[in-house]
Amino acid sequence: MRRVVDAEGVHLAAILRAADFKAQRVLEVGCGDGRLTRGIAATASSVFAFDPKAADIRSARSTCPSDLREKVRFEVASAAEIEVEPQSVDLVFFSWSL
Amino acid sequence: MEPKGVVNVLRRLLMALVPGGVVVDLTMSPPDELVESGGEVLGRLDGSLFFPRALAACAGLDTLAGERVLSFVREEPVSVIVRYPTGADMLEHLAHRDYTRVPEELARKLASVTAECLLHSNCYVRTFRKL
Repeated sequence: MRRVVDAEGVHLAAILRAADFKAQRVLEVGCGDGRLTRGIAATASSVFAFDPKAADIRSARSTCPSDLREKVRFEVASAAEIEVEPQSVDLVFFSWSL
Repeated sequence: MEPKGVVNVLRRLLMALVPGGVVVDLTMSPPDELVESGGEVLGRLDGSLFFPRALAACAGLDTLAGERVLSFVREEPVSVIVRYPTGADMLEHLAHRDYTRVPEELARKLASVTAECLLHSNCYVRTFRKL
């Protein structure tokens, strides 16, 4: 299957208009296969992205460009259970996850 | 996330955010997503299980704004088109969604479409700031 998600890039463009991700420590809640993670990680200082679906996280890890891997961390977890250090991020991004 | 308890989950997640930090919420909004091929509308998906969850999450953020935990900054509607090479490709992808269903009649139509199929979704992006 050759699915093309958001070919016009409107999602990412709208997200980047919504806030300045530059040099931000980002927590992404419900990252899915990481298609938006890659876009925001390009300017963020770090991204901690999680999703409850293990298959999606496997895909996200495998498709994450090598130049972003040092600043992106993917984890299998649900929003109800994830443990994140208090006041450790500058921006929380909810992507269709809630 | 289940609608029940959404505010508590949000409250816990927002503890990770520094004061003055930003919350960006991207979510899908009604009406149900529309399916078309070759300029012909084939039908709409059934989001009756999905939207209550999405709306509960939105309400959760609104609740926290009402409690002055968050301050509303802006909102922007976004239209998104997902393109699939064929109807079967769309069906295969939608089968992985947990809370969206393809009505039987639409599924029958999609199964026979060998041309490109488009899925139109309405979303919005909201921005808040932690107080």
